[in-house]
Amino acid sequence: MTNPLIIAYRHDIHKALGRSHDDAHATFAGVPVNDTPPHNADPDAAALSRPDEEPQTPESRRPNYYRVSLVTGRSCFVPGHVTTDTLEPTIARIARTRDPVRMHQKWLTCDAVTAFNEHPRRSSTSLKYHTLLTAALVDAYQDDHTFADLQLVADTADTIYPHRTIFTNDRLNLSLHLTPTDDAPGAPIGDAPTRNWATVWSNLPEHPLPTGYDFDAPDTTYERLTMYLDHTLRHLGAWSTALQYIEDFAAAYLGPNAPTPDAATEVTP
Amino acid sequence: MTRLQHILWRLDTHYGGRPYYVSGHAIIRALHHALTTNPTAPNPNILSTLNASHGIFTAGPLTPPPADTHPSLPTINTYNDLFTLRRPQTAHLHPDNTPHLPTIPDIRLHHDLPTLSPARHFNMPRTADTDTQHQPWYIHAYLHADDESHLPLSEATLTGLRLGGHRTRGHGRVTCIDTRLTNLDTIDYTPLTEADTYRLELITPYVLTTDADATTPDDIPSWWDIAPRDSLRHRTEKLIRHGNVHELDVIDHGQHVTYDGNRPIETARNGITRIGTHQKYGFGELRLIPPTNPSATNE
Repeated sequence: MTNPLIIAYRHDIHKALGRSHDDAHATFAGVPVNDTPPHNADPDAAALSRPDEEPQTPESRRPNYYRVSLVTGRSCFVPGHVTTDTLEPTIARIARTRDPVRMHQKWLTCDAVTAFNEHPRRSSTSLKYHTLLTAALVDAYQDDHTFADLQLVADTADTIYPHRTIFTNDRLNLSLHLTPTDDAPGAPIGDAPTRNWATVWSNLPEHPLPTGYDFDAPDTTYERLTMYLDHTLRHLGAWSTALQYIEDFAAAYLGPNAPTPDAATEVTP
Repeated sequence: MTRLQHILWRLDTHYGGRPYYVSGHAIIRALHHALTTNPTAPNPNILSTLNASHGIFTAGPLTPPPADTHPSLPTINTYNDLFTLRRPQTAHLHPDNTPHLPTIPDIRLHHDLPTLSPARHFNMPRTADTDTQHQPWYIHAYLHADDESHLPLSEATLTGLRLGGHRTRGHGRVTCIDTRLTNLDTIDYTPLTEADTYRLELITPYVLTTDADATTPDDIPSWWDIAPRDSLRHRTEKLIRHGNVHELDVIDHGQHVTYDGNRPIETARNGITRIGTHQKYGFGELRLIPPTNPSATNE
């Protein structure tokens, strides 16, 4: 019997292949895919990012699972650059992974899957982060914890918690845990899943990003940018959209060529 | 009687200030520049009686380019109507016309200065109507005056102001596209009278300490029920007055606390005209929420 976490990581592979759930195949790359994760984790994760009853796309129109980036305002589909031939090998390598911890790491760090949304009518949602949220909930539920037991914990450390870490980059880790620690502040995620990312983010007891004016240091471009990131995250209700936005924003503005806190560019008022 | 003058500005050029809001102090400062340079404008002395809210960014309706129509201020009949454009999670005009995309700003770098673009362009997947859509951005704020005769200010006076950083480079120019008066004595507070418990939402930060004046530091009000008392998130703000930069320690906006008072209507009114240090400049705006109001955010 397939590990429930592996089921969670493979449950929406059909979206990365451009197929609706009804048209999804039972196997891909030699492994079972598109099965329903246990413990109602998929509907719960979906409720974090979109309404329950979503209008279906007409049968005559192929669903468009290419995500619209909120950083660029454009579709992630790049004609000529993104094709089934280039994507399917990458998706296949992810799908064939058999170790759940390794599968979690691949989803956390994979770029290819960021091109896809989790529902064609909610084109800014993210297949990648919906999958990670689903697996985190499966992991929590099979430990007999409820949704209401969980907190969003923000950590700047390098520690990855298997299945519970839903976002990571070189500056920020976000995880779903039972309790925060002194070094990693947390906020309850609510009594039931809903599109409340902005509320939970706003209730973190400490900012995981620099968002204030440091009186002893100039107001840097980096800090101004993280303020913009924080400001936008306070507007986003959908969890997968918000997590994807952090990744896209960091890549666009806080990447290797972007200003860092040490190489600050003073912003004159 | 307390009248509010609500203002809806269209952002004409890139805004170079901090993104959370345009501070009430920046609005007063921009008005001071406008009134002292325009001989036909009201006497700048009136500014000493004006109180300005923080200006909150809000997205306009999605329209195919080019667009030459303007939204208007929402109708204000009830207490909750006052906050339609004030809450980050719901601040957008014409919500029925929003796309299935969240309304968030477009950020552009101008010489390492992050700026907020005056309009957002979406190149959406092929739709039935159009491929490219255009979404302008606006700022909502409100004034009230210690001397009621000093309001309202005209649209002409409120147009052409420059807000935010790098104003001399042309950033932050705004046009007033709608303004109207509201009387706090005549709006409907009914939902607040039917509840036994409330939450408070910090619409703008609450100032705890400032080195701007020789004022006694403010403590968290006793009618905020928080356990423990130091569990709220802080942030550091700055206030520039007379060329000096002053540091403010604030309770960050967007947080919720339980209301532990017994005068909800009075608290609600005070929350609109704001409480605490620098209330004149937009800090300390609160909203009272009965338990039947949803707090979950929507896209």
